[in-house]
Amino acid sequence: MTLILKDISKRYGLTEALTKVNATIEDGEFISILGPSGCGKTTLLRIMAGFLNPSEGELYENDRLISSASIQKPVMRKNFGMVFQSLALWPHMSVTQHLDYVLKAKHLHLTSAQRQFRIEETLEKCDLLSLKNRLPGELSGGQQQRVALARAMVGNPGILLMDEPLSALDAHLRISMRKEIMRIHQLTEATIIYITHDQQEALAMSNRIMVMNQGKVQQFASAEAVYTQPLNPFVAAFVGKYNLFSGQWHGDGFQVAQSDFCFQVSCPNDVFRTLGLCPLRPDQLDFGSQGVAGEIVFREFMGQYQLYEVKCDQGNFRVEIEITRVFLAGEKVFLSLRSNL
Amino acid sequence: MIHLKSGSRRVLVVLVVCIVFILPLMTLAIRSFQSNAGFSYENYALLLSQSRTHQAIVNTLLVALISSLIATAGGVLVAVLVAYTNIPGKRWIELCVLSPMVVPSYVIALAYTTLFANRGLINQALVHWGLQRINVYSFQSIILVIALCNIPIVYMQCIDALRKVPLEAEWASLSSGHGRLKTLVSINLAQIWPTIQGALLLSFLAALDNFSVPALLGITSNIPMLSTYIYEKAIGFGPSAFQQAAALAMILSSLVMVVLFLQFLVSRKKFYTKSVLAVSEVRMKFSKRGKWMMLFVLVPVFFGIYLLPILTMVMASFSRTFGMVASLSEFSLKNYEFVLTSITTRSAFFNSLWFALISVAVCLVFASMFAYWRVRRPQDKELGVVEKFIAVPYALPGIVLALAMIFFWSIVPGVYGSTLILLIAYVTRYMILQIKGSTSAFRGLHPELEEAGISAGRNRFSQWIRIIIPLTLKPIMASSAIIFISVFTEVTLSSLLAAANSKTVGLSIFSLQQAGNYNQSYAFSALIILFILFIYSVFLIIRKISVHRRKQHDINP
Repeated sequence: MTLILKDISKRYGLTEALTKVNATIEDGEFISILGPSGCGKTTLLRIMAGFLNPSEGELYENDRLISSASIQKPVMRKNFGMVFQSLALWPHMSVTQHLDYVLKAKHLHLTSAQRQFRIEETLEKCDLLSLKNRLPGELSGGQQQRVALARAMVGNPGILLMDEPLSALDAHLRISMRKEIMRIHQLTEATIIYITHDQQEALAMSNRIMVMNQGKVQQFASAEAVYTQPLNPFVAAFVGKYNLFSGQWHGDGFQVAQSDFCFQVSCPNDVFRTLGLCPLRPDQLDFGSQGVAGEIVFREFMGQYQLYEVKCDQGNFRVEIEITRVFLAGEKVFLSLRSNL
Repeated sequence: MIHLKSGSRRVLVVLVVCIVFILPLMTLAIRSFQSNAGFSYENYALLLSQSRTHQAIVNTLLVALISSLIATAGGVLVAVLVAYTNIPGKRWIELCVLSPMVVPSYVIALAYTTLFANRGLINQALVHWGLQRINVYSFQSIILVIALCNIPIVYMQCIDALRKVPLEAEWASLSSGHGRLKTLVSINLAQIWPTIQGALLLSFLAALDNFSVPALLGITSNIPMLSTYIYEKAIGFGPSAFQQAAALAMILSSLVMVVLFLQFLVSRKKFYTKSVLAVSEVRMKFSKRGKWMMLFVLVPVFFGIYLLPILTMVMASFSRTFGMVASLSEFSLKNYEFVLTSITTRSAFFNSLWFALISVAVCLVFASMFAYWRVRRPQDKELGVVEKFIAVPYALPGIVLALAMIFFWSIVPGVYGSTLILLIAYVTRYMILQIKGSTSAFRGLHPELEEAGISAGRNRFSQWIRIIIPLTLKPIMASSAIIFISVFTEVTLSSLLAAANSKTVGLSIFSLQQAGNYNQSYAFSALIILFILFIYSVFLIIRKISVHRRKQHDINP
């Protein structure tokens, strides 16, 4: 089942929540929608789920038009599971009743025995067997999250829509749930559309990432492409945590402003060329004998490397250095390209 | 305001509360066991062996049960329509449904007697078509009118709860493939089920308490109900009529106790929800055709149930002869002239007005002090028990309280037979409403606001005038408005406690109707409705002014 978004826009009064979103999502893909708060991710997901009408544009499933501005009641599609940011658990139903309610949907045609089996199976997968008769009010945040996930999965949906499902969890639980979701994707080959504002999560889990800002799609490409070949400064800064040097592009490289140093790199695309920005990741930089002059202000020990923040005339830039070489705050350094690139 | 350090002052308050709020009811209980032979079960034995008592108990329970079921079903249905759908005219629907809060229940009953008068249009038409007349003085009418009067209770509780069911909870159900109706039942209504149960019990209690509707529609047609039976015994003659009234009152009170206990059980079963804001988005959209179809059904139904009876009554009030206005020649302002000039109606109006004003004033003063104390000194735990005592006279049926007042306050010379006993009864009954309102108002007032006033050096009095009162006026006034309207229109307490010189509005309308002066009772009722609307507008204006002035102060730095 291919999902096609054509020029989807959504306006609330005078505010544009979404502007001309175009995308094609193939069957079985894991797509992350990544962006800061308020960029329109949840609105887009709700339009894809059929709960909201776009103000302009159309939404197609395979070749069937399922939502547009003129369709009063968006077609309620049958086979999808949704995890809400607020979880939206039903306070009057136990965990088992949540799953049973979903499975009782008429289009599934399951017998009572089949439902029982499916429920037990799902409870086990989500480690909820010991909690199966509890009400949501009697569960911790992490347990509630697992229930929300179980409810979305239990009907074996062809498409899973998830709105920041792990944001409320602690780091440890988040990593184990992340693995669980990826396992589900492998097993069921469902299409998963996953909203997050955590770029690490998006990079780790997805086939392709849709980066959004202020209602517009900034880049929609594979995780590697979004990370190593950002299309514009926003994607560079948000996903790869690139440093952005300002200056001037010319034939052999990039002339850094307020400095006489030149980075020997090729210009990624015209956007950067016009803006006069050079994106370089912290791991692409090094402290050398010559380069952009600066002074170290902070050092953060990140385990595998040290992250230094260097204050230069232009601004502050971050550099990753191996832990074997130690520099101190206040030291004067020169930023240059790492030589093994 | 009160220097609360001494324990003796607290003991004093507890004592006063017990005397005013609890002792009358205990006296009632004790006297129900009294007979010529001293302490005995005689009264109960006699009553419970009589079929009329059985009939009264059964009727009371049936009326309460069926009317509360109807009120709950109707209230939930309208609440769902207003909260969730996109039908037009929601303001009008709400106005109609909440109109029993403006129009007293006996006026509604009176209006229905006009609509279904034996020689009225509807019955004439039925006879013309060979059908049976509808008798409005019947068991069924009592049930239906009481149900109508109690729908607002259910509506107000449910509409707020319905709006607080999160949209995403519904979407979670819709996304798994269930239909709109199934979601409404299994998710929305299931989630507010404790609220619905609570509302059902509340309207059951209100039905048990209702005296005016069974009195108007049931006495002449000999339909015994506990509330009117108590009244009959109390005003009747006979060696132990009064004590028998007390025994009946105890029987009715024990029914109320059972319901209160059920309420307590239900209130503990609240489902966990994070604090949610009410949402007013439309959740169930009717198509254009659907909308107009709904209106086509709803408009005549609402018009017929709510507006037509009142209109009929008003039209009849302009008639010179009994019955509806047949032609323009029958049109006359005679009835209004009578009501506005007659001493009885005028004094009834001013009596009720003074009772209402004084009750509101007394409740305001004492409830504010009590509420302030309660909120600022949560460590005085006995105040919680004291508040429960104060709530008892409101929880019990009005006729029971009236009887208790007679038994107790007749001990004190000069009270029974004067206006004082009715005033005491009003304050006893409605004090708890003001306490609830004032408590929630003070809870919303941060103590630091007052401390800032103290540290500025002003005295306690100016602190109240300039800081506390302006900030708590709105919620406090809301309770005062309810007390005012309740005292002004009430009829149950005055039926037993009013003296010759303290007749109230409700009693006056009743007397006019019982005496056969129907048109005059209609005229008086219409005027009273107008007056109540006027009072509501006054309160709304006060609210608007106080909000407006607050806004002005916000703008000035």
